[in-house]
Amino acid sequence: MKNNIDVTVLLPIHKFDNETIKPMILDSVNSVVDQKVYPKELKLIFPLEVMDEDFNSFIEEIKKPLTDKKIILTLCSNEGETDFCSQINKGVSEVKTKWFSILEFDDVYTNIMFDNFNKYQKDNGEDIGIYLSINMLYDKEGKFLSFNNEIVHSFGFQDIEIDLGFIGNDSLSVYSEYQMTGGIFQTKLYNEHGGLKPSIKVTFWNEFLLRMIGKGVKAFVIPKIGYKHILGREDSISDYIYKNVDVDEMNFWVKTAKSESFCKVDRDIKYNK
Amino acid sequence: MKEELSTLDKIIERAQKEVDNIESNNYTIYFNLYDTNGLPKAKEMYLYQTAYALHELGYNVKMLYAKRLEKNPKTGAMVDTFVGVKDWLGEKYANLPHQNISEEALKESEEEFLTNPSDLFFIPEIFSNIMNNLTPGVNEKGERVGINSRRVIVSQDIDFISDVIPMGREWSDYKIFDVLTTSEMQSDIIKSYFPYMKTKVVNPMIENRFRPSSKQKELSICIFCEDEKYVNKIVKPFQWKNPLFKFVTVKHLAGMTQDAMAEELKKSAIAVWVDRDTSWGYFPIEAIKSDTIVIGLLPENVPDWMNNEDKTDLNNAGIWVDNIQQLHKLLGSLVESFMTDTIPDSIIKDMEVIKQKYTEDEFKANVKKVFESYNEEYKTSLNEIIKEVNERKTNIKK
Repeated sequence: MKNNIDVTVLLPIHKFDNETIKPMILDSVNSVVDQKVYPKELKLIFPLEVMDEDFNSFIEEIKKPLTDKKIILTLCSNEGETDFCSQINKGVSEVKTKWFSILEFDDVYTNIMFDNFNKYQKDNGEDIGIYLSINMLYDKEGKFLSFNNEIVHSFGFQDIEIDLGFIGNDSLSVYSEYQMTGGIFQTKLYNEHGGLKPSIKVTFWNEFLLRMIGKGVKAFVIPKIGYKHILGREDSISDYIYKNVDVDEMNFWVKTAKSESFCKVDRDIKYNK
Repeated sequence: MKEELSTLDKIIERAQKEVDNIESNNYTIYFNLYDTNGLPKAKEMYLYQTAYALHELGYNVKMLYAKRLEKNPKTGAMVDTFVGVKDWLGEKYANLPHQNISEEALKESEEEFLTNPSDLFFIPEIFSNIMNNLTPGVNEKGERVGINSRRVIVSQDIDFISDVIPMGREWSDYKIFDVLTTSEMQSDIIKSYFPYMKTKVVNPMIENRFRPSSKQKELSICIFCEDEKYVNKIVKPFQWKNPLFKFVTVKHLAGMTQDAMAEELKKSAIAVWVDRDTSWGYFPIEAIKSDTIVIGLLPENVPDWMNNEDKTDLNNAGIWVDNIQQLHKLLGSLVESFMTDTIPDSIIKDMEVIKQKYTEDEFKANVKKVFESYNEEYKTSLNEIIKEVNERKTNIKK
């Protein structure tokens, strides 16, 4: 049996119930178990208040399939800030593997994700800090909408000196719609350049990517379908943007992402109309 | 009687000299070609690869071309503007001995172009005019014309035969009875046209530069069409029918050097090929050897290598269609298969079989075998002449 690869999957959860959330998380966890090549660890990140009898029995339920694949299950509970960015930063602070990946609880990996990460990463050595895959986007009814992250495989999208698949610094100023969940990140570089900034609402991934690439970290999109993401789920970030963020606020966060990307620390930015 | 014996002795002497020439490698193998002007041409490549293999085996080879000299406007000197193959095929081929045999080039160089009977001329099928000019005989003035050297036609494309031989003529009119060709299929067709022709087959080789990369494939499509019109006929409808795959980069490889083409094939996941008239098809095999999945339109004459071992069906080393409309759809499916790691095992398995074939070593061994057989046949015929003449001498003396 092959050794599990040096990756921790972070699975942030902000609420739990047996009826709607549990089936989704089970699908997510199963997509880790069904991989051709397995990660070393799966870390559930959750606020303390979700811990109840149902949650505990759910943990027991997922232990066996993970253990069968030599995937270590670890739990990381957080108090206070339970937004997505803070949960990720908290999870990463406990990561011991060289790489980590982020799996949203209502998303799934395809079964070739880690196998391909393993292959493409061997090609590129230490050079690359972020691996994304081509993702499939679905609406909340499960209808396929489009691919995401595929654009960097299009010749002519970015400067000619940038090889196919790499996210170029210049292209980020005109295109920033990358789907970062499902991506695999080098833990050391994430910590070195500062993680996600919770105060940057809406465009935190864009700010993060600009900052990382600005610091010389290379980001590569594996030309395989590695992740399936649902858009517009009730209570999700995309749903929040759709319902609450107007054009002015969006422009503010886009500009903020650019300006703040030069700064490592989160400077507690607030939006004022 | 004395005079007749003396003539017979001369015949024996000349025949023996030719046998000695063959045994001591004192003869030249000529390849007739035209200047590709720096543009890649598969048929010229085969000639150069054959010539280079012979050169490496220790034979004397010379590449012959006929190109008019051009006047240098500054110096007024007549210059040879032959471009050759250095840029696209490589220096080692360009460095083979070459000679311009146009009338004015020979005049300018004050060099006579002399041949011996043991010399061997390889004349591509397109050069009916050269075959005609070299046909040994006597003209209306009673002068000897042509050459009495060995001559072999190189036939790589069955369509060229009917295209270039003038109506009412055939190869025997040029007193040529040997053909070197590239596949058994082509050999069978030639024999069906001209049953008297002796055919030998040397499959083309794929150079070692076409090999897999140690790196993973990028999502791009290489396209190579003998006729440029097919590029748009394939790429645009592919994007219209598969709008999700519009992002996929398509690289048009026509006109690239062999090195550049090898690099692109190493990187790309998929190769598209259209050459309906070919009898062989370098590009798909080069792609297969680069671990690149090929999809293409079936040529009119299906090359040997596309068949399975018992020749009852096509193999799975590529995806072959006979209709361009099918190609767009299947190309979309192939892109999806690459993105989801679901390329069928049968394709990978049959690609491995092709990858083991048509190697440089195999080609060199075949070239050696075939050329040794030309020499053996020639020596046998000369020895038969010597034997017959000796018998005649004995009878005269009796």
